[in-house]
Amino acid sequence: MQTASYAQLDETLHIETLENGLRVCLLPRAGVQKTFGVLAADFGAADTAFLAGSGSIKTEVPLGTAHFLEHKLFDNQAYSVHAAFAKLGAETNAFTSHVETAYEFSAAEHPYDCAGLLLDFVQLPNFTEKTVEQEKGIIEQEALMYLDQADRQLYLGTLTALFREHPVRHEALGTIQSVYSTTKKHLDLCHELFYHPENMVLFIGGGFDASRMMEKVRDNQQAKKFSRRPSVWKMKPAEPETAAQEEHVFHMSVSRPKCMVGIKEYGTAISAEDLQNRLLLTRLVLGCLFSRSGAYYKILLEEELIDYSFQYQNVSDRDFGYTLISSTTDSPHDFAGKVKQLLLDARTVELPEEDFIRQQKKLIGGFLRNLNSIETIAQQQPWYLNHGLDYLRQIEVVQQLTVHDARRFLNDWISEDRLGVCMILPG
Amino acid sequence: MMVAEEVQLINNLHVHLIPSKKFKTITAELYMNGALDRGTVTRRALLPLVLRKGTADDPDEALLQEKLDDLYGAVLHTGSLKAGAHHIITCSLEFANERFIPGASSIAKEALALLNSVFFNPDLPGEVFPEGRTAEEKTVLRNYLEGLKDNTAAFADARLEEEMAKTDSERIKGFGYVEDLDRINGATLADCYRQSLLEDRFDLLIIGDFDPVEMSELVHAEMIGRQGFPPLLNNGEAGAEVSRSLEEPKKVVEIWDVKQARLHLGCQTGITYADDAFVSLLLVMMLLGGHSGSKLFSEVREKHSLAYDINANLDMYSGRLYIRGGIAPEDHAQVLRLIEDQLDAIQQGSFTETEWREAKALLINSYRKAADSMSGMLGVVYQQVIGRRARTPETIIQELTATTREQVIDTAKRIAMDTVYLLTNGEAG
Repeated sequence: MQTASYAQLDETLHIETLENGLRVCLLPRAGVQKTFGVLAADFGAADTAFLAGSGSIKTEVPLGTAHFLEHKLFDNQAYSVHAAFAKLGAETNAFTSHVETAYEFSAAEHPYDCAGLLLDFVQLPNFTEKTVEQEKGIIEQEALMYLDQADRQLYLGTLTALFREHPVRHEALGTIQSVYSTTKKHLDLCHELFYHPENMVLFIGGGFDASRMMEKVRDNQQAKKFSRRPSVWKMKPAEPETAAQEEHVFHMSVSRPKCMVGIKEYGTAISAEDLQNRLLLTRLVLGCLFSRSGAYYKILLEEELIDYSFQYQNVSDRDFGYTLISSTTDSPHDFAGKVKQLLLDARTVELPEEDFIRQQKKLIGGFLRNLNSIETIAQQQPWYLNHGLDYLRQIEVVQQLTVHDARRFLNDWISEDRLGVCMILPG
Repeated sequence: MMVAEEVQLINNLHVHLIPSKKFKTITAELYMNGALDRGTVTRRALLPLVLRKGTADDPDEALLQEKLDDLYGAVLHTGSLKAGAHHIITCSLEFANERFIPGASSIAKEALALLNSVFFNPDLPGEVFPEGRTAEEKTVLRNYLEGLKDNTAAFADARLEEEMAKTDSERIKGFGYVEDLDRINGATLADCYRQSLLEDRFDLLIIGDFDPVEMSELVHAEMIGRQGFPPLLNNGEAGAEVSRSLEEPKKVVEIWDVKQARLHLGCQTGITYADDAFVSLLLVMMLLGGHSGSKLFSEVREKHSLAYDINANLDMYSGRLYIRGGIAPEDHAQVLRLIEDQLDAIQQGSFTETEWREAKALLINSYRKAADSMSGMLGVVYQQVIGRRARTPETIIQELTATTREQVIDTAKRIAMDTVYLLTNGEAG
């Protein structure tokens, strides 16, 4: 077991890669009562095509398979997963993003038993064809719930405008049609390929003893037999650099129009170093321009194009990246036009150093705030590790950036053919 | 291990200091607790929005925001909420603890001064709030109130609450009313602010990794002891009363263009946070629909695949138990029957030893875990203020441990279905 010390943060991380390939990270924190564990597979909703096995056969699974599998791992014929955790006074949950599937527990006692249980129910599935069929109605209800959520539809509409082929353009749970076409075989295959210990990270933080926890995890893994992982390459369709659609407009029952401008950052794979830079620089630059103290925010507010619902976010990942800027607005066309114009103007802006330093401080404070929560660290660190980065070093990386880095990034950031707009109009 | 809280009453400001080594930031939150009143509620809902936009020191929103950003991105929230018969205006500031940032100092000092300005030294030129800002925030509130119906679950909640109201005070909406907005201006809003300073009870809660003596000194220097700190008169509580009348269940159906129907049920229990039976009511809620092993979750979702979300929750200050589900429109009668059966089962004592142990363990652990998060800790401390009963997490855990099955069955029997609210499309009967 190795340790990584983060002296400034007063934290120590215990790390070990087990014989079967499982990466284990433990973050004990003194005085904390609860323990929070995450077991994450590097497999998400956007992984629907891959080359697998010795013959490297191209295999495709229906949209939403990762999410469907997440539901079915909770449905164990031998015991109730929820009840087993509840018996230990703990709770369990899971989520599927476009790039990973994560299973969690939150416990106030019995942390070692909970860790074992988490590994068992995720690694040893036990569901039947019949229960796969039963699940379809539940997922359909979940899908229908999202169809009524205007903000979610706005977000998906924008992704559809930006990406032509990449599966990130679809709802993580797929479509109602794809859910009904999913079979037990699809789920079994994905479990075999992507839930192999080599493709997973276990992160546990909170009130426990690190040596005892590591021993517990080792014993649990040694008692299980894993065959060698078949070779597997995830496949992504060729994605053009430009946005798929300039504008995407539809109607829903909303009281006022909603508009979102999307920037397609990239749609093919980038290096870990590039990813680290983009993660921070995009956020810093967005903060300089669009945060409440940003120059562009003030312009949009003065021209009465936005209200309190105005927001922006950036998602940067291995092979896709996008930025979304949105508001409820009475003049969606003017909002879209203005935001696009401002973004294009950014190519020639000389970013003031004062603004950069302010956003840098703000980003540092934001990381510190997130570090309050063991849940957040446990949810973030597996993603960072799977992408060759370290969540607990982000403050150090931010402190090393200079205004020159930000200026270079900003002036090279936007091109018109990578912008896409989505609008929801009332009625 | 639990909440070690130090309370001081200084110039009628109740200061609660909660030192804890678990956090990398510090949160200071002010609470201004007044009576819920139809005549003032819209102004009180507007007030935190206006306060958030400028202070006497930083009358411009952008300046205020720059100051927050320079304080390592301190996060300022103002808001209001209805809790039973109380209307509470809150203002919280979360800021980085300087000991975790190389080269940073005086963040806490500047942060407390800023919090003080927002709440106690607002931008009031000529003793009124600026008309331009007041008008802007009126628009914000109007848009918010009109936009509530975009979220069907929240809309169904609000409609159910309205249908359940038995008294005038219960009928009052905590977010205010669109029709009041025209009559509000900078002067009437300033009157409301001054009146609240005189009548409301004020609490200041601070949590984080600090030395209580030093923090107490900072509170004096930057807040209470500052020139212009207003005299607060109320050192007690705002009044609260709870309706306990029970009538026949009422059914309300509304038709909208929705894909998924919302079935929301409201029950009266007559039991609030201040009552002995409150803890056994928590257990009923947990058994019924408080977690993913609860009766509702396993029957309605797992066994019959009739809902994606189905749960029960409690408004601890009004004594109402809510059951909420998102379902297919055609299934509403079947789901309602299943819900009634589950409540009936608990009233008959028909729950297994396992269900019982789980419900208890989860509640006990949720109170243990509350002490691990800032918001959890602040919530538990302030609950006692509004709930008018001293209950620390430790005493609640003791009460939970001592509660018997018979007490829970007795409490369940006091629960009466009040209103069944269905928001659905016109396609199914």
